[in-house]
Amino acid sequence: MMSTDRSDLLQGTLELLVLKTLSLEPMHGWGIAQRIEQMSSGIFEVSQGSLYPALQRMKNRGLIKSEWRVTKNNRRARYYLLTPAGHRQLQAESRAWERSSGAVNQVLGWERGSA
Amino acid sequence: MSWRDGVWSRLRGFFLRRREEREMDEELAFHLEMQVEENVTAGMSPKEARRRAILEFGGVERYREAVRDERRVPVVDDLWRDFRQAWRTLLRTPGYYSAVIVLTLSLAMGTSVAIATIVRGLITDPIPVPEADRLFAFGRTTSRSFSSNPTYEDFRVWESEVERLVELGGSTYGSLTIGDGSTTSYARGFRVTEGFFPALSLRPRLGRVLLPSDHEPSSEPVVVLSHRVWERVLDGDPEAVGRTVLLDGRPHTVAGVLETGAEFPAPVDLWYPLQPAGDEAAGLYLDVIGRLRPGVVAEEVGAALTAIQQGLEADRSTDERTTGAYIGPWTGRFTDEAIQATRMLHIAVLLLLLIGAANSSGLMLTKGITRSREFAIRASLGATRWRLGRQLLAESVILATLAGLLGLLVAYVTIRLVRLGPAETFAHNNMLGWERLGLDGRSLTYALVLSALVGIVFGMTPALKATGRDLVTGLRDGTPASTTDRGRSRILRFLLCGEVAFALVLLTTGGLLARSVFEIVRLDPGHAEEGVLTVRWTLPADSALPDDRTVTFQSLLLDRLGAMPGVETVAVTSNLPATRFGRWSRQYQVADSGSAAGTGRASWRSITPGYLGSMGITLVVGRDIDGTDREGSPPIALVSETLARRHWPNLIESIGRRITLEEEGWTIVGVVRDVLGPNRDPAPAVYIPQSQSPISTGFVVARIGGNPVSLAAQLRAEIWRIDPAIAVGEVETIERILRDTWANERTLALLVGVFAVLALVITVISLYALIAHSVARRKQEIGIRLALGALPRQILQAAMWDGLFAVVVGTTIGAVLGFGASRLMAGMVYGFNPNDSLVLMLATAGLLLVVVLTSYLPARNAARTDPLISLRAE
Repeated sequence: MMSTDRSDLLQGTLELLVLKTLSLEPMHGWGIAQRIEQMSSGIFEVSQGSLYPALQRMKNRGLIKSEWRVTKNNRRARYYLLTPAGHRQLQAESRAWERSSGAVNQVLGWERGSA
Repeated sequence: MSWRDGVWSRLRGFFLRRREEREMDEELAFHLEMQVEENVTAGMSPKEARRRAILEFGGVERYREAVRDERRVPVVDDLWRDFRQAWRTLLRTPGYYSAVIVLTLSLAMGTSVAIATIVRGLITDPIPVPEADRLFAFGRTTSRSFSSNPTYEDFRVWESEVERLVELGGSTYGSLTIGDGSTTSYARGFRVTEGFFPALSLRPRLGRVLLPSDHEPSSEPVVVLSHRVWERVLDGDPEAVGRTVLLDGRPHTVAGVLETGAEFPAPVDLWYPLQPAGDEAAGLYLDVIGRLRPGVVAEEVGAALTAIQQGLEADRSTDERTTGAYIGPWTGRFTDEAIQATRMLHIAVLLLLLIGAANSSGLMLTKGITRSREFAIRASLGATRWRLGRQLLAESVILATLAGLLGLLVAYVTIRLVRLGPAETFAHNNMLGWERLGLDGRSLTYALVLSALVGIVFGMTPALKATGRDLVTGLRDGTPASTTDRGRSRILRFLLCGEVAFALVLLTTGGLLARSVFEIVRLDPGHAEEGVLTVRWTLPADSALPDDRTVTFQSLLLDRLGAMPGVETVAVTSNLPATRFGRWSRQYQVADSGSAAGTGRASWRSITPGYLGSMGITLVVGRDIDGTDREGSPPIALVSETLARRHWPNLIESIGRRITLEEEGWTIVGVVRDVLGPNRDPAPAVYIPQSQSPISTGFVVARIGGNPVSLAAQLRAEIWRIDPAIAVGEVETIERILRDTWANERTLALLVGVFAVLALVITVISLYALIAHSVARRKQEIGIRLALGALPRQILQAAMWDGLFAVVVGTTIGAVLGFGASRLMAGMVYGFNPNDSLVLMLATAGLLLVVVLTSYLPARNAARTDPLISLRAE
């Protein structure tokens, strides 16, 4: 079931990915998990055990909000939406991620010359 | 902003818990459905798809907990959950243990709340002074005593020298009587200096307090009345300000009336300006109080006053050397006796509380044993030890709170009883406010705080014990009589041991106190114990009566009172037996005897003929005082038996001898039986005819045949008819006076006795629970043993031994503690004999008897067990 090249997500990374996912469109928890797995080509497995607490946490921090909507298949589901604060957070975190991943790559010598 | 959102979201989560839970479940259901659908699409059977979906999701409960963790306000939420769960558990489990815990604890806590309320109501609260902690008492320290009052002149120096540090006020005794023109009665008047009222900062109920201008010699004499005297003398007249009252016959205008309880120093009824006349100031000593000015500390004032006082003393030569100034907390009307008594009560209450807590602890433990399986299961499902312990604690706190609330009821009843019964004690000790005693908001707060504390204390042991075991044994613990609860039994025995010890301490001290009261009651006072009315009187300084007023007054008084229907005989005496009034003694000398053996001290009484008969005092030899003993006839005296025997072993020899009292010789004509003084000692006494030793204040003693209540008012009215300026006190029955003399001992014995009984009850419950539990646990074992041929007697012994060992150890410890406690009390209570072996033995034997009986019942049940039934039990 679980392949060895799948990686668990760090908490901060999971939040960043959730923010990114929700910036595209409002989505329910299941959808978010599916989308992240899709977007990472199945590398990241989002465990439900960490996704929902993370959503609740982000909600507490005002990054996202939730509302009940009806899905395409006519089911009620809790959709999560990005708040303005969430937007700002996404931008800030994306920049931070770029910087740090760039720096890590640089240290590892994979990307020479780029600043 | 996001922080605020977070708090909001959490708060919302907390309050909208139900809805949140429902939404969470719905979200979860949706997620699972989607997963199932996907699995079906991948080709699984619907059933398999669901199974896999749930599996993939991981622990549903874990998910819920994690989301809840994120959502809630952690501390509040945890506590909330613990309490809810504890509450549900308590409701679900059989009520026996919970009920017993609540009942026993409520007894202990109720008495504790009652005592705290009483002590507060009598000692702390009756001081209606703002910022009482800034008030201090001042005095001199001398080579002889720890504290004595400064002279008026020294006080004036103090006052001016430390003015910027403290506002000082002095007071001293003043008038004795108060009259309104038609009647006159007693009221303790105090004379105070200018600073007295500013230092107290009292706000009057009516009018004003004394002002500095009132102290000027030219100003009109004014007086401030206590609430009590305002009600008693002026009938609570709302227009009292401006009315005139007579203090020792001198008119004073009422300036104001204080609130209830404002009666300082000691019990005092009125205050008026101190204006020492002539050379009085030199011999006047003042009680000094002072309010520290803001920012000043007591030590500063103490040091300053010490320096001043030493300066003052430097050029004086007295045998009493002043060493400095004393400054101590101002305690209003605290007496040492009251402090000691309350301290003893507090200790007794604490012991009772400890017993109650130990008992509850033991019962919780016992109960916990039956739940060890539940805890083991929950622990293996991931509940932490902290979590489980917390829940047990929550259970004990809930029980303690229930007990605290029920305890309020107990406290209410206790206070009602105290107000009915020992209230005399409070009056006797000049304590105010007992008639207003009652539960209030602070009693409730106290009860709740106490509940929480007691709950935590008694829940601690079971919480630690129940959660500190390994899971495997816990799960296997279905087997009865397993060895796993040996540790628990050890704790139970330890608790029981402590309970027995404390209960025995209370029983012994209570018993000894009761015995001392019994001894007092049994003492023969040497005079009538009922059917006698007494009333105090004082002739005014300026009376309307003729010159020879004492004699005139007495003949009028005795004639008129003697003619009253219901009065059999009537007499006058300078002082009463069994009261502290006029108990001072005087030096006497037996004539014709120059040696030390011929002198001694005796109390002195001036009486009219008929006193012995009215008071019921027996004449042993010789003759009584009679009408022939007048002014000018040979001076004669009666002496008490103790005095006579001291000098003449053969009583008859004393007749005709001369005794010298204050340089005057009296011929002894009779010997009378001893009369006990307030300290229950047969103090030597000398009785002298009033005609030969006139008095202007004393007591009327009337032997009556009728109803004392209706006679009392008539008696007073009749005296006022002679002259309304004669001060007349309250009419007292001799029973009341006698009861008053042992009021303190009686109250103490009663309260400690009640505590002792409660302690015994709680201990018995504990013991019963322990034995019943241990028998129930070992039902199977007992069944096997019986089946194998053990005799019921052996089973009985074995079962009883469980508790009895603890009882024996506890009794030993309790005996030692009780011995120590009663030694401490020996000096404090009259007739208290710490070596009273009868009481010690009775208390111990009584305790042992009760506990043996208690353990016998469940043990007998065990021995009667039908082996078949008990083997099938599990």
